[in-house]
Amino acid sequence: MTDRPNITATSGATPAGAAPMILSDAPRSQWADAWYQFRHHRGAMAGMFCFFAIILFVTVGPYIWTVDPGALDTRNRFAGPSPAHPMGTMQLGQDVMAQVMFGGRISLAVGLVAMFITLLLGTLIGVLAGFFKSLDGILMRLTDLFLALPVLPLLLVIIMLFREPLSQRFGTEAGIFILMVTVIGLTSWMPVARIVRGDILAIKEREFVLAARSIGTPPPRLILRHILPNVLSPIMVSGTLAVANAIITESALSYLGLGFPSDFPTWGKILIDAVQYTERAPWMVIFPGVLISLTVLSVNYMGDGMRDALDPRIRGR
Amino acid sequence: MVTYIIRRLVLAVPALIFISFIIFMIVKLSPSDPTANLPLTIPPEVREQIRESLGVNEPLVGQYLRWARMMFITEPLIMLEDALCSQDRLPGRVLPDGCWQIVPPDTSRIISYQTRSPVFDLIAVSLPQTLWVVGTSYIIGILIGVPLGIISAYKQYSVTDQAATFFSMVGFSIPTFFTGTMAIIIFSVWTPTDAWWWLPSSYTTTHVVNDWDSFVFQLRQMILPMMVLGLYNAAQISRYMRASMLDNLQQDYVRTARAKGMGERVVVLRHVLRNSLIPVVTVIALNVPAVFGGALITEQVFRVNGIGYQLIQAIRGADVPMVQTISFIFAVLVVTFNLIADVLYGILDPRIRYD
Amino acid sequence: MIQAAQFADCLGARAPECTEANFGPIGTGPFVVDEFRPNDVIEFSANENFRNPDQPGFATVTFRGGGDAVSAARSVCQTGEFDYAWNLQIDPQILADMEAEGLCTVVTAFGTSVERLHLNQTNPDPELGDIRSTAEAGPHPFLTDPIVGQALSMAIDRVLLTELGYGAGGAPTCNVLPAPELYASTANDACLEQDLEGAIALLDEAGIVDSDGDGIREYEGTPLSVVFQTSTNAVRQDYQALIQDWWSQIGVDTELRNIDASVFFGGDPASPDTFQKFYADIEMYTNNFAGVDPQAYMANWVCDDWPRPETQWQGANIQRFCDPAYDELVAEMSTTADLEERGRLAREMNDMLMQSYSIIPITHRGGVSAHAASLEGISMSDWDSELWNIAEWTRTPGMERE
Repeated sequence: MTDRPNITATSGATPAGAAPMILSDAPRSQWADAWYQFRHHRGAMAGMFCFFAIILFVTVGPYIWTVDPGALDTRNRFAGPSPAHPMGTMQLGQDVMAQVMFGGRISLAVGLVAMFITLLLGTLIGVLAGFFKSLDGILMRLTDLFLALPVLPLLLVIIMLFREPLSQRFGTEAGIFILMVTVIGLTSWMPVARIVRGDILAIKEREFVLAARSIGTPPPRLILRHILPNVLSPIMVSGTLAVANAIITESALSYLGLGFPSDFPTWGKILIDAVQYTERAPWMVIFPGVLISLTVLSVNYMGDGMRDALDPRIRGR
Repeated sequence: MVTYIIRRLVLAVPALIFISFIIFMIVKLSPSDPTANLPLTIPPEVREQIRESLGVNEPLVGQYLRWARMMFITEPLIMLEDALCSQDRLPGRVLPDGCWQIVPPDTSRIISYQTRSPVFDLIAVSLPQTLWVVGTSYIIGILIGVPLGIISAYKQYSVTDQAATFFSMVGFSIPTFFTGTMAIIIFSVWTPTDAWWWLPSSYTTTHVVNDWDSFVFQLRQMILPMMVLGLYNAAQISRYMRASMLDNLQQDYVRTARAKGMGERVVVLRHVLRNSLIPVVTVIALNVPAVFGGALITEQVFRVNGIGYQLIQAIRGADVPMVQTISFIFAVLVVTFNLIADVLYGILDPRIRYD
Repeated sequence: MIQAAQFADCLGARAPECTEANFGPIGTGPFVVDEFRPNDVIEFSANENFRNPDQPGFATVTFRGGGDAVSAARSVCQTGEFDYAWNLQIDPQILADMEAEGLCTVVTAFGTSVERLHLNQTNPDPELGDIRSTAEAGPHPFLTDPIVGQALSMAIDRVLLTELGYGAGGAPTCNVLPAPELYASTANDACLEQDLEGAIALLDEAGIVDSDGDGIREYEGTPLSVVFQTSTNAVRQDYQALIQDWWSQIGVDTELRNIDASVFFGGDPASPDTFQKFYADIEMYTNNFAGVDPQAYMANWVCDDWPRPETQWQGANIQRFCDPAYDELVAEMSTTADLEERGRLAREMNDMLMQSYSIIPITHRGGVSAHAASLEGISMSDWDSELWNIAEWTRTPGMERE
């Protein structure tokens, strides 16, 4: 009852059939088109600008603002923002600005790497389950299993078993980093898989897929060229939410002592520690909180822009 | 479709038994201990006795089978007894005359390590507040999130859309332990206690609603946790709704429908919405079991003391029977609601076939 | 007080089975239980059969659980929803700010709890695998030398730590046995003053110097690098940060670790992170003894009581201290009845432990509670339940709340 489009119109839903919609002098590649579209997306550009500013802040920042994040100064506890401490100081006189710069490196790295693992695992399992009927049952029961596992005891077990071997092989910090992103990825791919599968179940019955199938397109090509581009939007949303989720989960783990050591600040952990001082020293919560939100917002806008840029139907608008 | 549902239900039984065993192994392997919260002054021999009396040191398979027997046989029968009997139980779990006593009163039940009371009694006292607070806030989340997502998508890049995006991203990226504390500081601490907009910072679980005033009291004590959780849920749902609507608004069938002269309202709310609901149904189905599981952090911040709080206490105290039972009920809900979601896909889009 | 007859069948291993007796005890206290919801709420009402007909001063009392210490303090001191909150281990600055608002009074009482560092006397090197931190692993490469322990102790500013971490709820101490007064030694009080220069001079004189120029001293070729672990707790992490800072100033490198309390104190023999296994160089936690007699407590440090694999890592001699002379004192105390003499023995044992520098006490901790300013008659004690005299509590006239 929903739609009865003709074949030519439907083929326009795939990226392959999109190129003719733009009347330009020189033929451009699909990626150049996408990039052109992305550059003209105001939200995406603002998001990208903001994201690079944050990356600059945490990477180059410490070379300009050379205060040691771990330096203690107990006579200057809870000092408000001032030229000496632009973002104020914490409960032992640590400089908030140095802390958020240093902590941002870990938070951003954990957030982005864990997001990629989540999306990769979730999309892979979702696509396989949605597309191949024979795999659907087993993969979805696996998803049910992971959804049902109690997360905290699971983490305690994983960390008990793997923390030391990893620390010994890769060094304490790198070992914990690998453990963190893997653990977060392993415990958060399930919603992505369920969402991708749900969409694919519907998409694979659409006419353009049947058409592509009937001309003998092999499954890998069918998935990559025809199906995946159509489930990009929910994946992008999941990605944005996954960044926020990873940053917060990491902080909760470190807070419980399951993650990075206590002298290793991250945005989420600064925020958790600071919540009890909200009234005494609001700057301790405001700066890390704003930075987390800004990161998530900018990733979200970049995701929006990317989705629009890769969608041939709205190209040239 | 019916054969599909039956097949899934039959397959769910071995799957759930397998899941329950994995959960059991994980909880057992986890390095916390039921005596960890006791004072250090208790000598090791006594600790060992306590462990012994809890049955912690028995062989694993035996422990699992014992739990399984009580979970699948004793507890359902006791629930059945309660359902059939309208009177309260007498001391010693004896049923009054006229009721059918199926399980002998001295049959052992699943007992929590920490509180030494039957796990199902604990669940029964903590479930109401969890359903009240987490459940309503989830419904509010859906009621706000879905329309917000539709408007955002329909008026993409308008002021409303930008504001909704900002609101939902901030709502999702700021953790509830922070929004909760802020809400308490603003509405409980800074607000004078006698002002009408003052709200309690903690939740009274023993409060009974029986008239208008007590209902207002209940409402007041629910507002803060509901606000915090509702914001978080609305944020998530509105994002998925918006993305999915955007995809469908660009489809050719929408153009066709408009060309045929259908009203905008019909096009958007009947055709586009229906086709966009699949990811949203998935997300909602994924989160409904979580309503039962409670909100770990929000319950802690507002002292709602529901299932989430019980669960975190049980994990902290390595209370295996408690964690195991709650996780298992959670697993049953996960499997059920994912099945419901799969059935709904078929209704929303009749082209989806499982056979 | 509970009824012996009711619990007669519930002793020892059968205790968990007596659900009904556990949940409905019959006693002689001032209040009787109306409703009990584990982990949540206990409601009491006045016991009509209480020995003093004028008491208690309240018709009902409600206990609420849940939440963290900050929110408990907030509900007494800021919103006034509750009248009494105990075990408030939060930043004293926050508590002082809350008390300044005038709704509540903070009270403290001291028992025997001491926050202390244990210096592992055995080798916890991960290379040793399963035998680390046991007798087989051999002595620790440098922490068995009292000079190192003394320097570490001198570098710590106990007064500052205690003020920042506990405020009025703590007192700096140099003894692992700080109370009762009879047993408290005064021989070690020099440690109250931080002495960074002295610590540096001590290490220099002993020839423990930085020989390869990396800022970390070496002890016979082994760099003074320690792993310092404790349970997860905001105050303890602040202590760790400050101590790490001071130790770095005397050329000792510190790696910090914090472990969730349910694991750290859990004693699971399979977990590498329990305080008994002590797979670290130094660890910090609080211990105390119940009652007023320290005999059993001081017997913790006999050679036999090392946690080790054969005992499933049970044992109270956490830092693996061993001195036959100490064991003799323990034996002597168990046969001594004279109170003065027992006091002398306990002090001598305490001093012996202190001079081994295998244990570094930092803060004598008290219990901290807050009660609504309108409550009267509270006399807090850390030796007993804080509610021991709840029958005498009354509301200040004119400050009644519903």
